[in-house]
Amino acid sequence: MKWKLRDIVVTAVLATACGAIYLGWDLLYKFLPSSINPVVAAGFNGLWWIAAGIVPYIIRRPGAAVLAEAIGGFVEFALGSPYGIQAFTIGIAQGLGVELGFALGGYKKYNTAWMLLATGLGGVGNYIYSYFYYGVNDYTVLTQIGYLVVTMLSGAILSGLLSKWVGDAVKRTGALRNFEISRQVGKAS
Amino acid sequence: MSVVTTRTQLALEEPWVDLSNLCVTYPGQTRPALNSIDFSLYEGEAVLLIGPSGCGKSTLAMVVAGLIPESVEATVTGQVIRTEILEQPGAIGYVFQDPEAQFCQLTVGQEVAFGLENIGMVREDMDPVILRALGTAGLQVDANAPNYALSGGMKQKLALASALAMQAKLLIFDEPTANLDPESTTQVFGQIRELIHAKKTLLIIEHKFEGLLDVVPRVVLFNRDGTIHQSGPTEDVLDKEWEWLLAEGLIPDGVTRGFNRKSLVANNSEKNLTPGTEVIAAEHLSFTYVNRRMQKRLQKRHQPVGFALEDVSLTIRQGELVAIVGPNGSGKSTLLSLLAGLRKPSRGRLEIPLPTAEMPVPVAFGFQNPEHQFIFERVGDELANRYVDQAIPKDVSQLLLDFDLAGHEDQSPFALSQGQKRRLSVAVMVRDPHQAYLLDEPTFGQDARTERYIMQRLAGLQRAERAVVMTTHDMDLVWRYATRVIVLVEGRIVFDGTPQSLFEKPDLMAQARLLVQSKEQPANIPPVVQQAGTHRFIQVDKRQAQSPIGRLNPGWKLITTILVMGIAMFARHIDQGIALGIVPILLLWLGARLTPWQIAKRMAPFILFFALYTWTLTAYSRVGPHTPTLWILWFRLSWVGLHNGLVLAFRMLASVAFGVLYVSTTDVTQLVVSLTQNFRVPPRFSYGTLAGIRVFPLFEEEWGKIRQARALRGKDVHRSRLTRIVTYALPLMIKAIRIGERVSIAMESRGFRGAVADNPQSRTYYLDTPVTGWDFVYLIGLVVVTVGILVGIH
Repeated sequence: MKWKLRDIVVTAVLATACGAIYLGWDLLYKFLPSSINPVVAAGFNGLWWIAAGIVPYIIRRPGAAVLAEAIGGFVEFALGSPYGIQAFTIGIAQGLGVELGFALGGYKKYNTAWMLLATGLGGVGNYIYSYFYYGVNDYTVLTQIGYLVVTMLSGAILSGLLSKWVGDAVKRTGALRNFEISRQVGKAS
Repeated sequence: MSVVTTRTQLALEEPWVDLSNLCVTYPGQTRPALNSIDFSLYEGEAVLLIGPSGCGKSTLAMVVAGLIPESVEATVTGQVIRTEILEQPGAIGYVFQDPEAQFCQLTVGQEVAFGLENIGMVREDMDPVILRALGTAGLQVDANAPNYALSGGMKQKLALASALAMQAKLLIFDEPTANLDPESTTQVFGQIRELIHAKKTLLIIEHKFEGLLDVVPRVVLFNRDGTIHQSGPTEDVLDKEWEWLLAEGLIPDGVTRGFNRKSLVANNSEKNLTPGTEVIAAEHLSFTYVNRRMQKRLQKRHQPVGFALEDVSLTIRQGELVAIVGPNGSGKSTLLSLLAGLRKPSRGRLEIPLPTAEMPVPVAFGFQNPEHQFIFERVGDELANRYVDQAIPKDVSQLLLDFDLAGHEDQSPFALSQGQKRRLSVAVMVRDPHQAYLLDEPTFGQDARTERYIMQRLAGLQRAERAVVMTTHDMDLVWRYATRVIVLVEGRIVFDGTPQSLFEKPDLMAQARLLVQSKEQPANIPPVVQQAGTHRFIQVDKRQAQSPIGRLNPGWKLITTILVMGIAMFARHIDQGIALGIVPILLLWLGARLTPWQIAKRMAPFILFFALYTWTLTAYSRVGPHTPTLWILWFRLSWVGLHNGLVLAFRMLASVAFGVLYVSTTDVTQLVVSLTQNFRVPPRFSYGTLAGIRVFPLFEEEWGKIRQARALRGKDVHRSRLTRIVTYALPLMIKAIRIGERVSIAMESRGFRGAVADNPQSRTYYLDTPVTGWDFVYLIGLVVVTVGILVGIH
């Protein structure tokens, strides 16, 4: 379970790319008419922790979700995210949520169900952070519940399913031969 | 089991490296990459390894360097004996093939210093060593120059300088010129020649070995199956094995002993040339990458606008195979993409055939990297250009046979070997008839067999009265196959005629730097440092870096920034929000020395965002039972909500401004060093992350190319948007993973392993990030001010 140098470098490369995607998503989100309704808008949240899905799915090491989100969030922040340094701090909150999911599986479970669960838990991290910082505490209770549920679902789909899908596609190309994902075949599900 | 022994006492005439009966097998492979190898390397010797792709040359080099099995997993059997001298970190310097994937720092000086840090050199000693190494490697650039902006040849020199600085006893060159143009190759060969004259111990792997044969005393030839074919003094082996080298494609067909190309050119001229009708016509074509706004700005300042192509006129006719040649950056690829209609010319007239019902894509285009061309996940689908599942159509089976891809129809195109990928991409191009076929370096990175295969295909198209245009660096292809050659230098055509007449103009070829020269020419063009896209998070302006806030410790500054942002969270009134926003703005001006105009520019993108936040809360706030509200459509607007929204907006403004303050004053390398020096983060994590982040500019380039490719092929394929995500993500991710792996191997080869990578105190640091009293003054001061604002303003 020890992190190899190549695990770290690849984590950083992928997370950096995700950081750029986050920035694009920030700007896209900004101009979406759906941002007029917080529950609808929550449906977009999940993509903001895709690094916490794709990186642990490939690397499969303890802390991968948090590290990936910290790097991705920092890059998003440094590239000029409208959220400022909060892009970094909320990234850690989201990463911690996902990390909890993988930790519950002893860092051995990476099947579809577990990916959905873990990345859904990222939504809880997102909710808690937003509760304190993005004014979610000011919403009506019903809006808050809707926000949490939709955020979790969004995470499970945009971060979890998408990561698994892309990760499996990359694995089929043989590019991941030297990574944990290719070692744990069979064990995973 | 392998036996790796270190020889402690070096007797005279004992080899430095001694391999006997060595076999290496990579995990998941049944066939060994290297088989029963006996090889010795003595001090002061230079050995050249030659062999077809995949014959295990690189594997041998990595075994010698100790990278196999330590950094790269493989099963090794047989005996590996290495002298003690080579066991010290840094004793073996390794220059890898891909210039993009062997660096982990951002500037030239830091890059060389990375190795010195790993061998624990004291900081004060580093600068003279770095300068000397850069000088010896022939790299005349400022130590503060960003390394990602260097040209390919300069990057290889930097890799060499990094090895020389560590006092490498043995230098390994693993196809150092494979990704370089002839001019850069000349530079690298010049360095290798000097090292040989200086009696350095060298192991060289090289495909374009011709320019080294006169200086390398010993060569080893490898068979395709990973065994040694022949080994001995260069002259003898060449004499004996010339036919074998030709048969294996290691020397271009038709080149006679002594590397004479006269007959090659002569044979080509026998082709019957009757130019057909015009397909593509260009008149006075110019192109610039500078956008219109920037052009206007440059004109205002009376500065010239840089043109990638200037006043290019040409016609392409049926039955021609046109080769476009010229040094890197001369505009070859730009011209080709213009002819394909991928870009619009800035000036001039361009006539390209229009799509018709029978021929929806009249001009086919092949990218340099075949992976850019693939949009399906199965070879079969790719060839059919739609999802075909198990029922492979007849025409596709025929294509599979024709292009030697039978049996691979269910594989992912990305999982194919280099040669198979290229064959597939050409198969996709020739599947449907086109009027013209444009290919950007179709033989780049291919072995001789694939090269021959592709070129014969293209020659076939030419004979079938189609028009073929390709860019290339390989003049042997021009001599052998082209019916016409166009030489571009700095965006202008300097020659347009037959290969035969170009062959008779050696001066022109030298001037256009088309051939690998045995000596580096005095540079009449100053060394090009490409203007790569620089990012704010990669480079900090000098003025900000030297400002009071720029000189603070990056780690502690980050803590302060996050802390203050946390405090700002408790703002509940508009006045508090405004006051909190003013603090970082003042700091940007006075503490980071940004001009008010710069501050306004950096903050402007956030304003609209805050307006939206205000609206969201106005419309959705939880309100008390007796609050007056206003219903518009389904929105319930309230004053309470507006107030909440404004507070949130100002609060965010404050934290965003603190973020801008941090980014404007902090260098990412310094942050990484600080995390390790001051906060005990294992170097493996901090430096590994830095190495990953620095790959970023490459991504942008790659993204642009993939978008072009998709624009080109997307036209005739209908797929769901979701599928498109995978086709975008796949090539990018594969590239990311490949580079990540290579970079980490390169880092390990420079001594970054074991305790050095685990323990912050096992290495030294080129950059110093001291923690001073000012860091705490800054932290406490900001906390006091922000808390004061919260307590003092109601």
